[in-house]
Amino acid sequence: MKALKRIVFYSSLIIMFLSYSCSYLPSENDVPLDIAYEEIPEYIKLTSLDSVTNTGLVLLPGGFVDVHAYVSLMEIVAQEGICVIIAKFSANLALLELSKPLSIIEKFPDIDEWYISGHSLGGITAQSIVSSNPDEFNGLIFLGVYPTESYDLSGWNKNVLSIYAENDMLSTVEEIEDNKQFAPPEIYIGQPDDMDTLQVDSPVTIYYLIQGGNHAQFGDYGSQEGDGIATISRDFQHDQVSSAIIKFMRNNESF
Amino acid sequence: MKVFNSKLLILTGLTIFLLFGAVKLNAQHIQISANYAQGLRYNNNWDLFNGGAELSADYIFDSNDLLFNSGLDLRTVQWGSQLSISLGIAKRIGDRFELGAEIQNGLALFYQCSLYVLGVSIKGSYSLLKTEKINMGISLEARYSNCPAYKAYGQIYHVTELPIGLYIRF
Repeated sequence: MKALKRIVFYSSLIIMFLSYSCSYLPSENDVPLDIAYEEIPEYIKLTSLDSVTNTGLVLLPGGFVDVHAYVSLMEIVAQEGICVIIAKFSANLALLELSKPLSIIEKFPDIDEWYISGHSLGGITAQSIVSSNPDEFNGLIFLGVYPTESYDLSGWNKNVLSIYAENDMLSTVEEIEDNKQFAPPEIYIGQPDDMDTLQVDSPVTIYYLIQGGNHAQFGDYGSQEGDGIATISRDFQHDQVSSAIIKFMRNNESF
Repeated sequence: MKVFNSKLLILTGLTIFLLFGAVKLNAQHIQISANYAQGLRYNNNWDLFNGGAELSADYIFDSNDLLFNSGLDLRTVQWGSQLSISLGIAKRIGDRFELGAEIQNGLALFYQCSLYVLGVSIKGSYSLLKTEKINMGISLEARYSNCPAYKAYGQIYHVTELPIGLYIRF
C-alpha cells in the first residue's frame, strides 16, 4: 500500500509537469537564399548576405513555443542588414535563463547597438532583463505583451515599441491599455511609416495596433489555445510586425 | 514515424510502471533521480553547452550482482521537453559502484504532434550513503539522443551529453 501511494504520488507529479511542458511546433520553414542562417545550442543567428549594419536584435520566444517558429518573421528583419539573434531556452521558457541574452550579446563585439524584443512570456522576460540592465539595450520591442508592474520601466530613458493585435485574446487590447503606465509615455501610430515623421520627446512608448491580427501569428506555430481568430493572414501580420520593428530601429535615435 | 499520440505513450508508460510495481519481487526499489546534462556534441560539432535538466523515476530490480531498471524520464533538451521510457541493466562492482547501460524510447512533447526520440547511454554511479532502507549517490552518464523528425524544423536534432546527477533509492 505504501509503495502504491508512492507510485501514485510520483506519477501524478510527472503528469502534472507534463501537462505544462508541451511546446508549440513551428511550421516547416525554408530560409531565403539571401539570409545566412546559423544555429547552435544557444541561439539562431540570421544575417543578410547583402547588407550588414552594426545593429543587433535579440528576440526572446513566447513561453512553450519552439524557437524556430520565429524564423519566418525575423528573416524579414534580417534582410534589412540587422543581425537577428533568436535565443534558445531550456524547455522553451525564457524566464528560466534570465542571463542568457546578456551572455549572447557579449559574443558579438562588432555590434554597437542592441535591441531586445520578446513575444508573450518572452516579452515579460525582456522587460525584466531591461529593468535590471537599463544601459545594455537601445530599445525594447514588445510583441503581443504588456509591461508588468514588477519590472516597471516608466522611468527608463530609452524608447519602447509595443506591437499588439486586435484579436489577441492572450494579451488583449484592454490589458495593453491598462498597463501602459509601466512603460515610458505613450504615443499611438496608425501604420509603421508614421515613425518616419514622428516628432516626439524621447523616451516614448510607441503603440502600434495590428487590425485583425492575433497572438499566435506573431510567430508561425498554428493556432494557440485561448487565442482569438485572426482575420488577416500570417504573412500579412509578419509584414506589419517586421516593418514596424525596422522603422523603430532605424528612427530610434531621432525620436 | 513522425506522428505519435503522446497521451497514449504516457498512459502506456504509466501502465508498465504500475504493473511492474504490482509484481512482488524480492529486493525491489524505487529510484528517483535528478540530472543536469552537460552538452558535449550536437550534430557533428563538438561544443560545451547547456543540455538541460532531467527528472526520472525508476523501478530497480536487484538480482545478485545485476540491477535491472525500468522507468520514466522527463527532461528538457534541444528540442524542448521530452518524455521517455527507459530500460537498463547495471552490474554492481564492489559495495558502492555500479556500471550499466540504458536505452530510452520516448517523445519530444509538442501540442500538434509529438516526435519520436531515441536515446542510449552508459552510466556509472557511486553510492554516498547506503543503509538498509535508503541508498543515495551520484551518477555520471554518457548519452546519445536523437529526434530524427525534428530535422524538418531545426538543424540540431541529435546530441551527445554527459548527464551528472543525484539519486535516491528506497
